[in-house]
Amino acid sequence: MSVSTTTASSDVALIDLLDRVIGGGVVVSGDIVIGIADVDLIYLGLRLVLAPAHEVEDSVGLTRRRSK
Amino acid sequence: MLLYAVVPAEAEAPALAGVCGRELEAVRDSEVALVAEECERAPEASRPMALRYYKIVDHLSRSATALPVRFPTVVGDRDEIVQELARRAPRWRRRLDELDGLAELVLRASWPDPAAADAGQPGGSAYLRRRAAQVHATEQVADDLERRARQVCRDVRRLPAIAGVRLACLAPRTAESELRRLLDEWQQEDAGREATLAGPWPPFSFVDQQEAAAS
Amino acid sequence: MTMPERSERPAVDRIFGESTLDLDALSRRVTADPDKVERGLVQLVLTLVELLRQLMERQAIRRLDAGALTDAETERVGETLMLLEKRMGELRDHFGLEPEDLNIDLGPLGRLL
Repeated sequence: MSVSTTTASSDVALIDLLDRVIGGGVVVSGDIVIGIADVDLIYLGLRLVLAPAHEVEDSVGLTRRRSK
Repeated sequence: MLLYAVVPAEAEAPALAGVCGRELEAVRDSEVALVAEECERAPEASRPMALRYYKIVDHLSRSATALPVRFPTVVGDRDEIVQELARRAPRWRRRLDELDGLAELVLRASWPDPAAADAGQPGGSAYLRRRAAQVHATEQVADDLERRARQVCRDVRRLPAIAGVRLACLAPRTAESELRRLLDEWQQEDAGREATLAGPWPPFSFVDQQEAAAS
Repeated sequence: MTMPERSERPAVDRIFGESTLDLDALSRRVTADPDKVERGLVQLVLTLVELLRQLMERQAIRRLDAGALTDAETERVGETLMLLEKRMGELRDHFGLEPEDLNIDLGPLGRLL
């Protein structure tokens, strides 16, 4: 039985396309401000530090606390 | 003003109406231009609008290399566009040259769940091992497909996916059939595998030089 | 609070609801209609919980692979993650959210998940 790669169904292709149109592309401007009722509340400068817990604790010399 | 795409400065002004019904214009710098439309208010960020927007960007990309702008991006006026151009024109020009003649295709792949047989097993350990197996399978497929895709793709980037694997491939439009052949090969190697291809369309995922983290 | 309809949702995931969003691209100011704040907050909170769940799961799997978990720990961590995943599904259903809804577009920073 010959199996050939299907062209994505039009629904799926549309989802992929729209995802790229609103999720990809050139981004103009760099800051995000979240506000409510025209009052700026949060300046979003996300810096996610992803380090395994034991590495972080070891590096700052803390003893690991075990949860009960 | 709604922004559509970055194009080379020498590109012809597009004779098209935009999503707000006004004529598109090209705000030019010495090296690049930004195609924009005067919109009274930001267009609604809806599916039909995004699709209309896409069709225009696609049309633009047929006559010149274009870096699509994320939808919807609205700036205050022409002056802001000029400022943006001044800041980023050299980088954009470089990227336009690099992307000349290239389009984006998106691969989706799915495969049988490696942990399906153990799905019923109760308990935390069984759960964690099932998840580990699924995560490993995903990594493996992504690595494998990326390796194969790179035979025809100038660049490959991973896209977020809730299930399965999604990859964006940067390649000439003519590479589509070869990419399809590679996917067929992958698909036939194991029962239950499925691969689909979408595109080609303008290179939304490749407008930056460095790898985009999440987009 | 009215239950949002799980009908076809626009592809754009924004924090506080599509129709009331006023996106100024230069300052990326997101202004929210107070009525939609609750729905937006739920989405934000669940997205963050989901992010943490994914990070913890990834880390647990890494430790499992490295043999750094005892059998008892594997069982405890696995059970917690399993319950967390189940609870997330229940919360999503309760608020009428799809998995795709738990994703925030941070503009230049890309998607959260």
